[in-house]
Amino acid sequence: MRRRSSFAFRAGLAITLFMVIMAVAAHFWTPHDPADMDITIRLQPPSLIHPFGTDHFGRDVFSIIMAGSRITLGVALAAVMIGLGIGVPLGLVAGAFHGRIADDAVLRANDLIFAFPALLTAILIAARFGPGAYTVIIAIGLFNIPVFARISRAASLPLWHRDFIRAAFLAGKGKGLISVEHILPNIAHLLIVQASIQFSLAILAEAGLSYIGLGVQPPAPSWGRLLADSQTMVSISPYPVVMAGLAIMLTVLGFNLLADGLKKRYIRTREVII
Amino acid sequence: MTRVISASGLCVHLRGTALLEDIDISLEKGRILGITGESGSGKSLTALALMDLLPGPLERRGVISLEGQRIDNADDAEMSRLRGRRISLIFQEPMTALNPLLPIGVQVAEVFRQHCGLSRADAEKEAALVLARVGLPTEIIPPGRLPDELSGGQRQRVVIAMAIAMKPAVLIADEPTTSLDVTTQKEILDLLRALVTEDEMAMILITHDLAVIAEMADELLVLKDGRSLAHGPVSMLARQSQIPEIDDLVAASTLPPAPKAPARSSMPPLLSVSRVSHGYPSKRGKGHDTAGAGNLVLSDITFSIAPGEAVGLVGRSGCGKTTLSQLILGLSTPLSGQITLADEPVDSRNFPRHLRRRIAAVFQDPYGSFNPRRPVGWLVAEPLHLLNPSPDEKEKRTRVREALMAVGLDPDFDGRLIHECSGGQRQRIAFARALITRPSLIVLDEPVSALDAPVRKRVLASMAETAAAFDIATLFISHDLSVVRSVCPRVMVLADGKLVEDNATGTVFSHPGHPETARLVDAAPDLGRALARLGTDDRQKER
Repeated sequence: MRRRSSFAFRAGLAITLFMVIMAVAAHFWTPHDPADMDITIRLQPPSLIHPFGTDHFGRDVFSIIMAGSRITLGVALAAVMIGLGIGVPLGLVAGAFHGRIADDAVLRANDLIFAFPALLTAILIAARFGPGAYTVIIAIGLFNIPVFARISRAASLPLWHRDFIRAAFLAGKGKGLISVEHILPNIAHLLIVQASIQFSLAILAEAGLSYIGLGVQPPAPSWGRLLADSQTMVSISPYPVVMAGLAIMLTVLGFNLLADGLKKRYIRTREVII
Repeated sequence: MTRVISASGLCVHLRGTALLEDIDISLEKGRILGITGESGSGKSLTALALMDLLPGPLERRGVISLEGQRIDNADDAEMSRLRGRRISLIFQEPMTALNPLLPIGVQVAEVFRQHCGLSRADAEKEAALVLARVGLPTEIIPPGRLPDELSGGQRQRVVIAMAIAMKPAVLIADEPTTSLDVTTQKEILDLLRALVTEDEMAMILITHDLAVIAEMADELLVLKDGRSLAHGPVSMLARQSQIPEIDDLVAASTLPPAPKAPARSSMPPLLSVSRVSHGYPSKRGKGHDTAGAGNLVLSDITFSIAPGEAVGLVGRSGCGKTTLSQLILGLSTPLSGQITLADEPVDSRNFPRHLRRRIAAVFQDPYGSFNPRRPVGWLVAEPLHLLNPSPDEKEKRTRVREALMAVGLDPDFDGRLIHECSGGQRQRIAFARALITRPSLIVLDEPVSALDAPVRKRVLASMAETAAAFDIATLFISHDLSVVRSVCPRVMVLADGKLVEDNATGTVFSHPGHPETARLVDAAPDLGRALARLGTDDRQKER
């Protein structure tokens, strides 16, 4: 049991680290310029020069995937940060003022966001501000806020009845300071796990939004767009589609394994022998 | 008479390490065997080993017989058939032993459906009978109630009903009353004894409380580090035994009464509570009828505490003790009445720091009183937040180490994490945290209820000494009069939200002034009393 959980965790960590290193490396170097088109070598199968083959514009698929990882991970990171940065404080406030107006306000605002289709919101934002990376970040980030707000609120509620919180009140501390010093450290493990789950969801969402053309615009490389662009050619050359799909799948799998491993590590139910 | 259950050479090993070694048990019909020992000595392990309920990696050896039949080599199916039918177990925590989503009647009926294959209707009829036997007749407690709607004592009665439903030959009770207040404890113990006599069961009673054993058991098994320290008739407790550890155990479980306090009536009171009433808003109405008599938790409480005085506050659970402590600590505001500390009003909505500094608290649960993510030094230093100006890090550290030393701990504890500390150490740390601002009053809310008898005695003594040394007044809240007697010269009794008694502890014991006080005095486990009784029984037998 132990062993398998730690294997999943290590595998997830390895995949995640590999993706991060690839994204950072792509900033400085890719085998070819991902925007460089050469119609004479279009739709080639994998070779030594083009390890993942080329797409219908003759661009190097490996370079697009490398460069695309930068945008995918960057967008996902920013979106999760928005969720954490706004959702957690809102959740803590709601927990601290349980049953009062502040709590109700946070909950109803959450319901409002949850009730709105994410895709529709993304289209609305894109319609107003134009498509692009920031549109995607805001759209995904917005939907991360209630997730983190709810989990922070729910996890903090039982803590407020514990004796160490009463002791902190006796030490003259207010609800704000108690939230930061006592509540936050005790829900951090849940937030870390949730963040890695949300990260993998954000990667999927980014790929989806780019696929329908709301994400980063050409010629900037992106996994979702690579998938969209080359799907019509799948019968001629499946490599661009398969490779883009694999990249998305592997990254999501990596973060899911990581989340799973973190969960087993930090949110284990107390082991009971006697 | 025939032996109902016997075990010889019972051992439990975990990966080669012996957790339990060479335990012999033998018990006849209608007899009660008390197993006692410090926490971690293997008491519960013995129960689980007898029931073949040991967790995975633990291995069991030895011969166990139940009603003349060997069961140590019985297979799982055979054991499942015996468990609940011929040998039953009652756990310590009645809340976790019951399914919170099922009515109690259904849960008891489940036993009959499982073991006798009765139809639902028949099983529920049988269940009602069993529930009536354990003191929960259908007219008073309908079997449709959920566990949440019962008190702790009533829940334990349901657990007992499930355990005795099939009239087992052997009943194992593992700390059946540890989470209950002493008044309820007495009721449950009386019930268990009556059931043992009626059904001629053999009972194994596991508890850390020697007074309970002395009252209940016929035979005694004392465990230490997984070995049997002594095994024999319970009357060996009353004699000077040959085993120093047992004498130590008896000494540690005997709490001497507190010395008489000097008269303090001439001093102006430190804490004064006058005509305080408090209640909770009812759930249905939108909360304006809070003064309605139905939900008053405290009514018209008046008392005062002199500087440096140690006062006990006693009552059964649900009588309003904790609510009163919350009001005194300024964690909530009373509906009416006034509380003053050193002539300044205590008001939860506006509690100035210089006043808050003068009052501190130690809570009941040693595991819930500390933020598990902070080191001990940080936790003890937390109330220093109240000082203005707040001391610097070096000063804080010195103070923390002083406070830890004052409660009898190694000052190097400041770097530990709380889960590295035992229950007794945690309550000392809680006391150090309360001491650190040099308050005038410390409210001790059941500070030793979660501790074993020997640890309890040491922690109590250390708290009383330290409070006296710093001239700090203490309000000691407990459900157990015998504990209060050992530290407080004066005691108040709270019953159903009313203060029914406020007198010198000795007087309260000798001349209880209220029926509730008499009940509490009677329920208080008293090892001395039980031993004296055992001693006379013993001498009569010898003649």
